[in-house]
Amino acid sequence: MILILFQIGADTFGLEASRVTEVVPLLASRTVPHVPGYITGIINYRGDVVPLVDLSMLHRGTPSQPFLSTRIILSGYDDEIGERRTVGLIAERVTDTFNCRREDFQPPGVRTDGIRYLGEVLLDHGRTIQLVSPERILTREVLEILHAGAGEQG
Amino acid sequence: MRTFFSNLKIAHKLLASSLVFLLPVVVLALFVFASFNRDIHTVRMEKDGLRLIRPLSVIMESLPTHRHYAHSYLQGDPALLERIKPVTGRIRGAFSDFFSVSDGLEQPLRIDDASLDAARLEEAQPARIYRYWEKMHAEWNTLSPRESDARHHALHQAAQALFFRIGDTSSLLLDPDSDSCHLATVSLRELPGCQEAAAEVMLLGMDALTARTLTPETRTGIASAAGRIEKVFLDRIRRDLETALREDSRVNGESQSLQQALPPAFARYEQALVLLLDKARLLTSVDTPALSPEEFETAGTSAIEAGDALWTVAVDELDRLLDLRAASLNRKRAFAGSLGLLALALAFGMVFLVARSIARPLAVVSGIADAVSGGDMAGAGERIRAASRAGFVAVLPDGDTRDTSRHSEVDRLFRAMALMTGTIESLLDQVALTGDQVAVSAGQISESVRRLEETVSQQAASTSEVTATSREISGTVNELARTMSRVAALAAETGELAGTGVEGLEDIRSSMQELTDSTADITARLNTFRERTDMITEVITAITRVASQTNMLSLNATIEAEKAGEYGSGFAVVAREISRLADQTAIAALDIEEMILEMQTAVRDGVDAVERHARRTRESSERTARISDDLGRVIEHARRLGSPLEQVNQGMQMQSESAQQISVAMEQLTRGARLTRDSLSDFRVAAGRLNDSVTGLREVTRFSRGDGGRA
Repeated sequence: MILILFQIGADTFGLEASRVTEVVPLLASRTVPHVPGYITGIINYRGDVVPLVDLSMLHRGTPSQPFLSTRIILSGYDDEIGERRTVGLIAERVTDTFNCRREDFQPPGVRTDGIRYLGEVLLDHGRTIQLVSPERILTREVLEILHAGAGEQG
Repeated sequence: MRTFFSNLKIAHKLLASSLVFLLPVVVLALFVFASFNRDIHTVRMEKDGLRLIRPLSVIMESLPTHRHYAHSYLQGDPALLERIKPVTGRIRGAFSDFFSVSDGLEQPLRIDDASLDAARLEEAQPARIYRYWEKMHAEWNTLSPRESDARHHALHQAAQALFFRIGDTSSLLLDPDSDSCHLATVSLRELPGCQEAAAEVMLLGMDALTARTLTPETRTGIASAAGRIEKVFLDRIRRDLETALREDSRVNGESQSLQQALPPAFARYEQALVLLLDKARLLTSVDTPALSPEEFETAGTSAIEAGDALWTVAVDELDRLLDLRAASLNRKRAFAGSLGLLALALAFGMVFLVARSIARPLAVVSGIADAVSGGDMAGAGERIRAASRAGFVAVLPDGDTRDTSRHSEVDRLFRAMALMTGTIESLLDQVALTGDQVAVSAGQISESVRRLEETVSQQAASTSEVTATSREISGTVNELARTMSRVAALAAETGELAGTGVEGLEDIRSSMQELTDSTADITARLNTFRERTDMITEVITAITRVASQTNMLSLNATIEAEKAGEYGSGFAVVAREISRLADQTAIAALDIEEMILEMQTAVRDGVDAVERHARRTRESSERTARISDDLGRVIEHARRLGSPLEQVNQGMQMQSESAQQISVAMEQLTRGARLTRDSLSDFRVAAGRLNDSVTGLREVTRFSRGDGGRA
């Protein structure tokens, strides 16, 4: 499979390309109040309201720097009740792709309860690539908030 | 001496004054008593004299008869021997009577031998007379008639001398009373003389009748004797007796016995004398009178006896009058004495009562005064009430202003004391009130004084600080003045230096200007360079953007290819090639960007440096220009500074003087504050003394209305 790679700080992370709808540059977003800090806002993607999650903010607590390589990864998933959801993940250094096999992944070794969206890791020539699960980034409460706000606006 | 008298009590003073009054009284009393005593003594002496005279008169009366009989006997008539014997016996008896009387006398009337010697009446000495008589009696019948006569005469003279001596020394002849003196005169002078004359008449007549011849001498003798009797003695005797009788009632009251006994006795005597005188006249006038000697003798004897009787009556009455007088004198003396003593007792009693009436109220008053002075006002009031109850005085109600001059001094004193006590009490009450008020005020004054003192102290402190500060100011100003003069000098120097500096500055300024121009030139070039690089940067940015978009395209293509699966393998290749292209572009762009960045950095740094340099240069230039201007101004100022500086100097000096004056004024203030503080402390002392006075006043007010319970 192909991974879309990005970086948070010095660490490399990957997202399954099959799950990626599109990669778009940083668009102007509308901020949403009373949401966690890593949700930087919502955008209008081809008529749909998509929340933006700053992965750097989520992971490290520092916002992503606005380089040209900082892009929004639009990822779709099915949530718990089976609805199709789309989330925009802001990440840095979204430039490369990586070709790998499922079997190359290993358990991460260190598992923390708080980081539910991180998955298995892959070792490649000195760097470690960790899988990110987009469906686990947004919790239902946050989604409620987001969609409630979006419902009001839309 | 004065103090001694003033310290005496009233009783003593009164006693002393009454003693002083007593003195003349006593003297007068003594005089009165002495005169009484003298009169009584005179009476006694007169009585003694009468007692002596009685026998003596017998002698004197008998002597002529004795002489006559002796003469006749010696002339040869022996019958007279018998007749002489009773006479002799009478005379002798009279002598012994006389001596017994004179021996029994206490004071023998100065008829002792020494007194008679002194009075040159030696012949009157009774003892001598007696001896003479004895001698004569012893040898009488051997004497010649003439000698007998002579001796008898001498004896008679001596007896008469003694008689009159006694009359003198017994003061019978100076009898003071008008009734008795006449009796005395009669008894001592006139009657003896009359008797003597009567005896002479009788004897001469008897001789003549016996001899039946009337010798001329006899006739003369008889005539003269009769004439004496008739013309002198009888009249005198009558007059004296009449006076005595008249005066009798006036002197010691009428003496019944005198009035009754004397006139008849005198009448008889007169009658007898008249009879005798008739017979004597008859004898002398008629040659051969029809008279017998016995007749004559009888008439003579009866006359003589009547004379004796009259004499006895007179002397007895005189004696009685003397007794009366003595009794009266004694009565008067006793009366005077008792009256005097009574008066004295009354006077002393009066003095005592007066003294008591003064001393007792005075004692009460002084007791009241003591109570008041001791502070016992209640006791004083009680004493006053007790005194008014005791009746010393009728105390008028308070405030009575009736005229008090009518009342006695004691009354007035008591009233004054009562008023005074009442006034003192009310005064003490007022004093108590005032004392409380004064105490409060004193406390307030003390408090105020204390606060004032604090203030003054603070003031003094601040004043001294100000003084110090002003002194510092003065010093500083002096320093400033000195500094200013130095500054003036320096300013002058500076001006000179600045003048030389200005020229150099001008050069600097021009070179600075050049520098600025060149720097601006460099800056302009650098700016152009920067613009170029900016343009390059824009190009790079565009390239980069293209690279980025290409990259994104490749990404999306890869994603689509993945999603397309096997149908997208060709797409994947395209995507890979595009991605590589993008990468290369990006790398190249990155390289260029790096270079550009470096250049930009260098340029920026260079521009910054130049800019900084230019800024500095500009600033320096500006500064230099300013400095130059300033220097110019400074020079100008320095030139112009002379006079203002001088003024400033003067101003500084004046300030220094003012500071000095301030310092002086401050010192005066300090002194004044110190004086105020001193006077405040004096004031505090006075307030303290006031407090003490108040305490003392409070002490005084405890006296009001009694005990010390009233605080």
